[in-house]
Amino acid sequence: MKYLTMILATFALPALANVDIVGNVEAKCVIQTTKSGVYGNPIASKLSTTPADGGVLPVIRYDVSIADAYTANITHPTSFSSSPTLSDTVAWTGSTSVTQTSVAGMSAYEAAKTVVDNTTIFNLTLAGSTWFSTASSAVYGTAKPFSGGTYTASVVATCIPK
Amino acid sequence: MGWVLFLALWPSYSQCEPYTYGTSPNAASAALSWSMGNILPSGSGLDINGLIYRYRTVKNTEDDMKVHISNKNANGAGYIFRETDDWSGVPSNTILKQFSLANIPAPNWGDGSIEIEGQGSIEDAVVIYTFRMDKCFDPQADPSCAGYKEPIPEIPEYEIYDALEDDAVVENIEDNLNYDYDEDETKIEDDEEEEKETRLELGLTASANAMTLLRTQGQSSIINAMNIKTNIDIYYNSAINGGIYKDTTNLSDAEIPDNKNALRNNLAQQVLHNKLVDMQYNK
Repeated sequence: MKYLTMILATFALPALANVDIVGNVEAKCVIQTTKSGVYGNPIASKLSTTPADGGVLPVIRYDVSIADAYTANITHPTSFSSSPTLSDTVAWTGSTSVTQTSVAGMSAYEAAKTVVDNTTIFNLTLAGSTWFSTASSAVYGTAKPFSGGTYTASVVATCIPK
Repeated sequence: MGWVLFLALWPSYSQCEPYTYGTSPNAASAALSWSMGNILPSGSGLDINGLIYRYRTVKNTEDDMKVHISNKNANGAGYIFRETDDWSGVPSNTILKQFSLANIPAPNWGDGSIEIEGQGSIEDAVVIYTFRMDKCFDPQADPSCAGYKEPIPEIPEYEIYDALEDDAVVENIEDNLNYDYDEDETKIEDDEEEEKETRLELGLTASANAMTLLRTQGQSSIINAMNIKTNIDIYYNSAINGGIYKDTTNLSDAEIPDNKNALRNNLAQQVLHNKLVDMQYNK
């Protein structure tokens, strides 16, 4: 009888439990680098990714699984992330355009793009993959030759939910 | 413990991957229509598991244009694959699409094409099929395939000849089996058989004689060869003693007089010599 009392007392204690709720959200917008860019050096004072200048345009692919939910914001460089010491100013120019699509309608992104400062914004209204390429050029001083060395600049691509 | 044994033995139960994968060349490299037989490898067990295409449009933005990429159904009407890109009202660009397909058997795929509807054209078209080939589609193709059965060779049937069933043989079998035996229970041959044996013995004798003649001639040749060798060995085996061998002919110093009998001839030779010398000086 003594033991029975103890068991009942045990069941009478308040129950506590922590129940986890886990949710996995797959990325609906994925950015992939399809091709890295290369600066050509057509004249001593200029670096350019344009193929005509001996450069290679970098290509970025956006894979979007939800239509009309994101914008692609791509910023062309305005400074070198690494370079020899420069004593003069560098004049930067650049642009981004749609080079390839997985849906014919995405071809309209190009005409609908907006440019704010150095950032080009594309409204990703269709689900699928879109390839963007960015042209970049840097002119040193007033036609001053660039110092010898390796120059690196970055294109920043982001996927912004609307 | 049982699980350990199961895991240890698991690989021995697994089959080798019977599939090989590949990609076709660009089906649209030469023209905007193609036959699948020309771009896929031949053989059975081939499935199409993917398709990739890319092209660039050339058009005015305001124009209507549709591009159809399709493959006809080889086993019936309609298409086994068809995709349409609507470029109406959008500018030119390059499109790239890829499709995963549920391993559709290659024989089901009919001719492929890219058709343009509306205003505009395309360039740099690329259409590539990815395929899977099952080498065990026919299990007998490879001994490693599941279901492979060791082939049993076909045994040719031969007609067994039984001489006793051959009428021609039976007719010629000697009917008279009553042989005569002497007191030692030896069969007594008839005269004809004895005669045959005699002929055989004669033949053997002649052959033996011929062999004997040949053997005699051979021995004679061997003896001659041995004699020749013995005769010549005398020269090979001769030894010359050492020492000095002096000349045995001595010529004592003296004036050898001219042959008077040849005087006339000597003078003629001298005259001729002088003439020849004088000819050099045109005398």
